[in-house]
Amino acid sequence: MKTWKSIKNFFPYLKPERNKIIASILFSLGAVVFNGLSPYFVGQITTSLTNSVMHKEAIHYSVIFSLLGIFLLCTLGSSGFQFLATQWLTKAVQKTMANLRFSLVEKLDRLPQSFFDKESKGDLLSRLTNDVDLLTTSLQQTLSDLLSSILKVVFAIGMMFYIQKSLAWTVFIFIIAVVAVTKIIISYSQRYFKVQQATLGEFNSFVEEQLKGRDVITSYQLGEKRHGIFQHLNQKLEKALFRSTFCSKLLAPLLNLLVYIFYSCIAFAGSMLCLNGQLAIGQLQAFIQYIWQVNQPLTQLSQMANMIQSGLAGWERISYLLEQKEEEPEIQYFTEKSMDEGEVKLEDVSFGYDQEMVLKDLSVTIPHGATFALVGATGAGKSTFIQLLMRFYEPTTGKIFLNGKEESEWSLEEWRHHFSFVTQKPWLFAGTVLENLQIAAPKKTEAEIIEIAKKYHIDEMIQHFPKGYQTQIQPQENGLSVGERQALTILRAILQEAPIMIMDEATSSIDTQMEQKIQRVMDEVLKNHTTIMIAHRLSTIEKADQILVLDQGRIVEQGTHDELLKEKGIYAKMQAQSSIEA
Amino acid sequence: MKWLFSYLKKYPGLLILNLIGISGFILTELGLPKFLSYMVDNGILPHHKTVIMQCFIGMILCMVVGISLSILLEWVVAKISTTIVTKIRGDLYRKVTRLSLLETQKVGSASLITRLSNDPVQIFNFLRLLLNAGITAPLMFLLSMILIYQFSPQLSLAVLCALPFLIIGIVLLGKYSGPLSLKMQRYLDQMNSKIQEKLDGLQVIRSLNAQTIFTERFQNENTAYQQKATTLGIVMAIAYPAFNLLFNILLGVILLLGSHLIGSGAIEIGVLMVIIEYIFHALFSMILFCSMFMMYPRAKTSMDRIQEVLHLPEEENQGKEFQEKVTKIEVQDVGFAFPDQPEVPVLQNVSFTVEKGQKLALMGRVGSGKSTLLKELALLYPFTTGSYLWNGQSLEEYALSSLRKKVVYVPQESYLFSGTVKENLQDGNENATEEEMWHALSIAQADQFIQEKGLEGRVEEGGSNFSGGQRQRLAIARALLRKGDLYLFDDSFSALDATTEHQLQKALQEELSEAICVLASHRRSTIEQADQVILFVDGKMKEVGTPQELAQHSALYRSFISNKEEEIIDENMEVH
Repeated sequence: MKTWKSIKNFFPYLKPERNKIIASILFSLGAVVFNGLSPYFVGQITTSLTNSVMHKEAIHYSVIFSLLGIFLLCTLGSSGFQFLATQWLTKAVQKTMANLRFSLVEKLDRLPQSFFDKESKGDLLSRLTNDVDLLTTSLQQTLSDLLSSILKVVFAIGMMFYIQKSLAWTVFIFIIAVVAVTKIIISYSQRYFKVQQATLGEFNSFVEEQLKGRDVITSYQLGEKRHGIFQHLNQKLEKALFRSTFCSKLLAPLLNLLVYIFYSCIAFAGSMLCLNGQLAIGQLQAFIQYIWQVNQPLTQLSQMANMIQSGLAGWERISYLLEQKEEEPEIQYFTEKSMDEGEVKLEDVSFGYDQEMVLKDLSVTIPHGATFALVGATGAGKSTFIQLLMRFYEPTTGKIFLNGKEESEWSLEEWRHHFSFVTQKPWLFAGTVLENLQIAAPKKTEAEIIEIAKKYHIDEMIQHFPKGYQTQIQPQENGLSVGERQALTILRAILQEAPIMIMDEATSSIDTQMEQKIQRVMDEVLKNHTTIMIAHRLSTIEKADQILVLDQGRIVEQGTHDELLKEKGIYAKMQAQSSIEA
Repeated sequence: MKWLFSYLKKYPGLLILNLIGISGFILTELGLPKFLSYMVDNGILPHHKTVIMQCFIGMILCMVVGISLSILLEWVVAKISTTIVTKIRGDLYRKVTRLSLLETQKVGSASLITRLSNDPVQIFNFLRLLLNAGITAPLMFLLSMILIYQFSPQLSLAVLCALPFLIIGIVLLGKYSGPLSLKMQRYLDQMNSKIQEKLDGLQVIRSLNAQTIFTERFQNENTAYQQKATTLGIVMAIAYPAFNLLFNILLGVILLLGSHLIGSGAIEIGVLMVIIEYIFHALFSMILFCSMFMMYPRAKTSMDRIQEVLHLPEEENQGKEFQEKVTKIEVQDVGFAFPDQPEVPVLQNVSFTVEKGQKLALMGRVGSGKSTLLKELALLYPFTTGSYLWNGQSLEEYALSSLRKKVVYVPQESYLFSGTVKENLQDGNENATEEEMWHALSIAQADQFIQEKGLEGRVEEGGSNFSGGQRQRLAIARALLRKGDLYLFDDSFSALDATTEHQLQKALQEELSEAICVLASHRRSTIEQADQVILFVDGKMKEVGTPQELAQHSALYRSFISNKEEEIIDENMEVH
């Protein structure tokens, strides 16, 4: 039942391509008919030859020629139709899968942040790539063959009945036996296959760890100790691999056994019928040919069973993603034309990822143009605070106002237009420096962007890159240092021209030389934006109009640097500790 | 291939069984039609019931023997291929553990992981094909041809005529599909990287409201991939119908020639029937054999990649045991360059001496050569030039393993292995008692957060369930259990907050009062406690002296110290 339901859920994705699929089905129907007729005409030729030999006549070449002609036409027809069927199916499947991948990637845009917190990135990526691949292969190999195999079997059985009724009934015993054997073998081989995959996973993660920790292993001389574990795992893998290979490979000879038993019995019984004159030799030959015609698609079907199951498993993992609840309901929002203002107000805001509240009863007003710094120990809720402002999460209770209007009155897009966000880890995508900047300001020309870069003292740094603004950025490794990347992300945020700037410890990795330059950038940023930042450096914090000290999800202290020092609370204590350094 | 055969040669018994199994398969495939033709010609046509009966029994016997041997074949093939692939993995792993760190880095750990996990799978798949179809197909082809020839030399000629068409067809198919599938793979990789990009930049993309732009970037690759995949699918779609056509045309020719031969009395009808079956077997074997060659390039790449590693030079570990306690290390005029870039020196003309109880601090910007120097002192990298002496002795005649026993090296990102806290600490010292472990943990300022779950608490891969600072402290505790003479810390305290680091330094001071200590750091407080400071610029010693001397005389040192004033007022944060 569950299987059927999940298959049914897939149908809508096939629908846009239904014409191609129907065409493919019709073509493969044609192929099956032509293919199925061939043995019959070959049998007729044999019969004609037998008659000539029996009656000691000359060979009837005219009959044989015309039969051969029909036979070759059948062949041509079946080959041609077969090709057309596969061609259309390929087009349909590839298009369907491309559409499915697109829907999945679009879906990612509409899933709430909380979804991504729950799922591991590797697993998501694997759903989007490996599982879609699995489904593609499975569809490509089964969709056409499934139908044509069934048709082939049905057609061949029909022909058998046409030739000899009583012999033909036996084919059902054969089919039942094939299904039973297949079922048993598959249930075993799948069990072993799962063990094999799990062991392989275990093996791979062990190897990965050994290589990642190579310096420790070499230096601490752990090689011998680890080698024992490796050997144990390698042997376990050998055993699992052997079992699953042997078991799955057992299917072919067992099915062969069945078909040979059937073949021998038919040959024997058919010969007896021939002796009684109830069957011509040509008919017996044709009948035997049809055994192969039943057997070949039947074997194919039994091997397909595995394929279909893995495809279904892939689809289930994909549809899990498609069924997730989306972030934003479709309602009409009011539109604010001016983007100059940036005032944020929190009213009794509480938030928790689950039962436990991470932020409790926060109320604070951040007026336009102000600079607020968030301070507190790890886990105090600083990052969560910022994520709520960006509306990656919705508050559990309480309200957040932007320019006097409640969260629910804004569309997500417009809300986020008011914020520039600089993350702690600088993220840039594969492309040129300019492309990375233009993403924040699609309407700005290169000259305009350079002008802004100059104003914020970042142009000089970019000009020093190997190709200036045209330097290619690779997401992982590149000549750019973390500090340079951070500078670029800050510039990108500035280019957004949003009234509010949010910075999550954005200057943490900036090295000695960059630091002073960035300081100048920061001064400019603070002048032009409402700024909310998480900061560790005293020099940055001191510049804030207000410092919010968070402790276990609550605002425990609020004020300027000097005020808070006088208060002799948590902030003052933190300062005292850090002065060991200074 | 030669390399693969060297593994196969080790299992002659299994290979003989393999051949026996194959003979069973051939017996059924070729034997049964022969019985059938005999039955038609000598049983049905002359109306001999006993002959039919005998043939039937013959068929059953042939079948039982044949199928049993086929099952044996599957068993042997699975056995040989799993055994060999396990052996290859074992040899490869053993080799990897014996490579020097430099060689490992040259190949790259990501690449080594694929070579250990995925490449053997490719070889495994090829091996199975080789042992089964690879031997069966040519034998089957040969035997079928011989049998056809025996029945009728004329007809066997017709089959041979069809052969070139088949081979040319397969070669052409391989030629077109090969590059296509390579291209498709490339588009697939690119498409995946675009998805990865979207996932990595999730929050930033959302805050930029740039979702559609990135979906479009993905869609470009998606469409390109779809087009290539469709083309490849259509090219491959030609294969089966084309074979069908070729086979049936041949069949027509054979029927026509056969009729003529039957008319002239040269062959009987049963023979014609059996010949048709043999032709099918002959051509089908040929296809199997050729398709194996289409798999070969992929397996070959994997074999080459594995062999490449197997041929790398191993680290030498021979010589005397270094027994004394190390009380003094001397580095004289030492230099280092990576083998692949000998013209770019990472270190040049470095010389210094450190004695027991002393602490040497290395300073410099990222890339100035500090980490490389520490790896050399830890005997993980070889020196390109210069000499390295312990207690005044050159180290060449000593075994590497005996020297490394004396060294305690703590890298900045020290890897923690999945397992328990206890198991990780035992990596430092197999025989450490729990008491010693707690002592080490308390020096490393790690006892408090370990106390919650105890020594049996889980450590996930890479220590991912601990924060950066906690990982560093655990790694220090593990290192302390080694109890060596020479301690090397490579920025090992970078993720600790000021208070914790201060306490840790104080505890270390007592614990390591008799040891030699070299550390790289950015922290002013750490550097100021050293007996000696070396400031590196571009791999050269720029300034040397005590912290007090440098503070007085070196402007460079002062600029470093003041710029690195890290007023970090909480622990290095974890992001939710």
